[in-house]
Amino acid sequence: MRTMKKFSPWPATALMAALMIPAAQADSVKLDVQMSTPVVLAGTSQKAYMRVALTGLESRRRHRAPVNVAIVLDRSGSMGGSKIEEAKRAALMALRKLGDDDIVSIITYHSTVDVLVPATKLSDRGSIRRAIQGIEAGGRTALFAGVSKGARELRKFVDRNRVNTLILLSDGLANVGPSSPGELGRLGASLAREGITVTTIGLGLQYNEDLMTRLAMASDGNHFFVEDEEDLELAFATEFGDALSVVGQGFTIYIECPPGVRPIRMVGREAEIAGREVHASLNQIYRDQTRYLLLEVELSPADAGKAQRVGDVEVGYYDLDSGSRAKLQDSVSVTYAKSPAAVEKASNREVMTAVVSQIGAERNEAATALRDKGKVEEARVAFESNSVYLQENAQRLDAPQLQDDAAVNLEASENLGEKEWNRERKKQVEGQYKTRQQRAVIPQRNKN
Amino acid sequence: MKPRLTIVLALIVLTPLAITGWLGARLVRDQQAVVEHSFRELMLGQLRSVDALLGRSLEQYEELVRGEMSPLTVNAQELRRRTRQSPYALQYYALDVDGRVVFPPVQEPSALTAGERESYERTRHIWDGGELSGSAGDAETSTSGSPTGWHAWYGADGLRMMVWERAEGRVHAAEINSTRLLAELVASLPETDALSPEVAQGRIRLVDSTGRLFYQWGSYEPEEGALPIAALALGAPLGAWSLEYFGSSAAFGGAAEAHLLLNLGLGLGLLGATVIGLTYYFYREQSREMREAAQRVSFVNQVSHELKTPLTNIRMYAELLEKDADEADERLQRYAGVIVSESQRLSRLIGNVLTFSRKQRRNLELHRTPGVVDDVLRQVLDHFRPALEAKGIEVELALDASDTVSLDADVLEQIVGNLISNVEKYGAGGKYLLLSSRRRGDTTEIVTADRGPGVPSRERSKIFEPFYRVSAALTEGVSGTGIGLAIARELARLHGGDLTLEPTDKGARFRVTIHCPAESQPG
Repeated sequence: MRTMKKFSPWPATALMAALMIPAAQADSVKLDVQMSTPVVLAGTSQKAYMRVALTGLESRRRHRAPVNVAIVLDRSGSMGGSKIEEAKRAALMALRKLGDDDIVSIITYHSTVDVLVPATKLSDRGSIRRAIQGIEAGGRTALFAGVSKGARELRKFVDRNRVNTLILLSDGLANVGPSSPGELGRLGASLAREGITVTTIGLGLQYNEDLMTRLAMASDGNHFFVEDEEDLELAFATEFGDALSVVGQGFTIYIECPPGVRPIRMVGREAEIAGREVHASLNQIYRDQTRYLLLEVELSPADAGKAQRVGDVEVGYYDLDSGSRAKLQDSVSVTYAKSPAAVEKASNREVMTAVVSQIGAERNEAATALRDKGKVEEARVAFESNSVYLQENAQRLDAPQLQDDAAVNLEASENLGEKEWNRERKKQVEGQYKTRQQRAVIPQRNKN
Repeated sequence: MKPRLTIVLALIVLTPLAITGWLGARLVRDQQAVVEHSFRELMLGQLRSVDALLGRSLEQYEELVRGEMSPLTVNAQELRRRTRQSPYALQYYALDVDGRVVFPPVQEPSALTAGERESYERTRHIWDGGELSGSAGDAETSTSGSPTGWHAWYGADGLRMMVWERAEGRVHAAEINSTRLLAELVASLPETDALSPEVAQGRIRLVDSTGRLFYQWGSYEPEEGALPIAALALGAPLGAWSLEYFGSSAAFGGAAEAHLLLNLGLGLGLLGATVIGLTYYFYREQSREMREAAQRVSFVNQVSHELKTPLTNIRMYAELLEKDADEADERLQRYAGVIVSESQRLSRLIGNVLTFSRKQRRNLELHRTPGVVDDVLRQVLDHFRPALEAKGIEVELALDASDTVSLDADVLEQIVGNLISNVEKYGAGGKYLLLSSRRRGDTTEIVTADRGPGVPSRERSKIFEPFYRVSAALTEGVSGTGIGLAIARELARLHGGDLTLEPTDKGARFRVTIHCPAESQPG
């Protein structure tokens, strides 16, 4: 395995790519492309899944990349009492995790917006701490303006060599300014293209989980459902843990399929598919964690014994270790075989698990949509059958995490009543979101 | 204090205060209107500067988008790359010279990405309607000389916008990420804590075309349904959006108004104190002088009383002397006559003073006894005869009231005495006195007339007013017209009649009526 530190001019790259197949690896991120079924049935057209996995490796550098974080806090009337106090405590705790080179800004919103702490290096912690302690709750929820102002503060120092994160805390429905999930999603997508990630924390049971997840999803950030304000600190700790362990960001994934292979869709993620070319993006890869993309493709029929390249994958990103743009390449093929047993035998359990997990999340979303329409009975059936599907695959693939997903779906099917659903929905949406983020702590055997 | 005086004093104090207060209130109201107007203008100016700020943000955004659009190209791969990477645009477009969309490749739907398909559906009405190819849209000329502009419309979930540029007959366009644009607008607007204090006291709202609150700043919290003090409609592409300023009346010129009110209050207070002080001083002066005058009157009254007894003795003895004196001793008789006449004059004077004093005390009473009016008149005339003769006054008598009637002879004597005394004093120049009497039922009418200078017409109504002026001239006044006529009229009225000044060609003519019913002859 060879290391490619820097993106080289095209002819050389093409040559090296030819030499380096199947995998190329830079310093801090490893690319691994595999098929769910490396062996496919001959003589028939069929669907298959390609998994593009990116794994953050241990940094060689002592120092982590500096972060540029905007904390956007809801201080509307509903945040009164222990909620605002816990939020302040969590923000103060987060500050302690940051170093003097990190940049922080604090924005609060209610009916209007206050930029409490404009983007600044953390050298004067005292005044920032006092500003946070002075926050009081009251008023409406100008969420859009809060995010807009937070993004502006981030943009003052936005840099590909910094981890640029906006953390949005809200416990209520946005009621000043744009407030539809679609609109917030477009804003998140725009910010992502500037290298800004938005992480959303929904507190309590009153916030709009669709809006919060769309915003986070579009910018590839995290989303947390924190029912009890006492758990806010944990959410902040997790988020800061992520932010402080980013090894690469601004990933662009380009997959080119040869003739005979038709890309259908990117499972659980938006991607641009034009003909046989696929473009996708990922904002961040964390140390010791894998994130993956699943591309569903349709393979043309071929004779047994024939090998077929499914795709060439090219990944570009900012390597926070070296501070420059880096590039990874890999490709993957399938072989056609006559016997279904051979297909079954060769199938990649790990990729299949990922596929089942994503399909489970999609079905979970569909069941949620049924419940949203008030079709309680149909939703129950959908959750239950999804649970059965996940359960069966858990056994077939020997995948315990699918077992957990099955249990979550079963639980959902039992909490469809008016009283339980609001809370349950937030939990389900958070679960869907986590699945669709397609990340996992590195399975050890993948490290080769 | 008399109630009338109280009312007068209250009016003296309250009238200027009320007038000043009213004027002051008007001043405050006018001032407030002026302040409000200028404040509204000021706020409108503020809103205009916000509008300008928004305009600059839109321009900047357009520049960002057009920066991404340049160099202009129709290359699909390049346009896809731009679309993929742009934070500002959702989709780039390229049209051919005939106004047909060539990128994205809509002629070949299977080649479209999902994003391109969605964007094309959203913008289809623009391409099909040829809205950008024609002259529609608010076109400007870009720095490069080619026409460029915005196009805004409302989609299912709010405002949507497009930036376009035409070069070499082709339109290049970008469906912009309107949410991102709105976020830029919000980011360019002030925050509540970054405001100058005078703006922080108000609240500025940016309201979208549906009347929904989009963004607001300033610490003032308007009440639900409150109307803005100033409002400004925005132009394209944010057509039908508006900026509104809210504030409390305390926010604008509140300090100035309070200042004015304070000044007004102080002024009114000062004026009130001055007026009250002056009125009190005036009242004290007047009551002191009245007290002093009353003391003087009471002194004169007492003295008069004391004088009355010795004067009566002098008169009696003088009359005895006149009667007993030797007929031949003409000189002695003349001297005695002068003493009698002068003492009678003095008696009248004292009588007037005492009557006046009794009247002051509301103590006048009538003592009717049987008597004859003509007898009384002759007697009075006898008293005056020496003085009248001395001045050469010819007396014409026309007496026709010889019945015995019920009357107060002293009162009648005093009335007629005062009138004849006036003739002697002021009408002597006419050398003539008419004294007539006649009865009419229970009333007897007496007329005195002279041919002197008479009474000037403008003083006719005043001559009966008692000479009540508080002054050192009181004692002189007793012998002057004022008190004599006033007492005469008072006594005539006491006697059930009146005293009037009759119009006449020459001199003064007074008419006295008294009520004196006929007295039944004693048994």
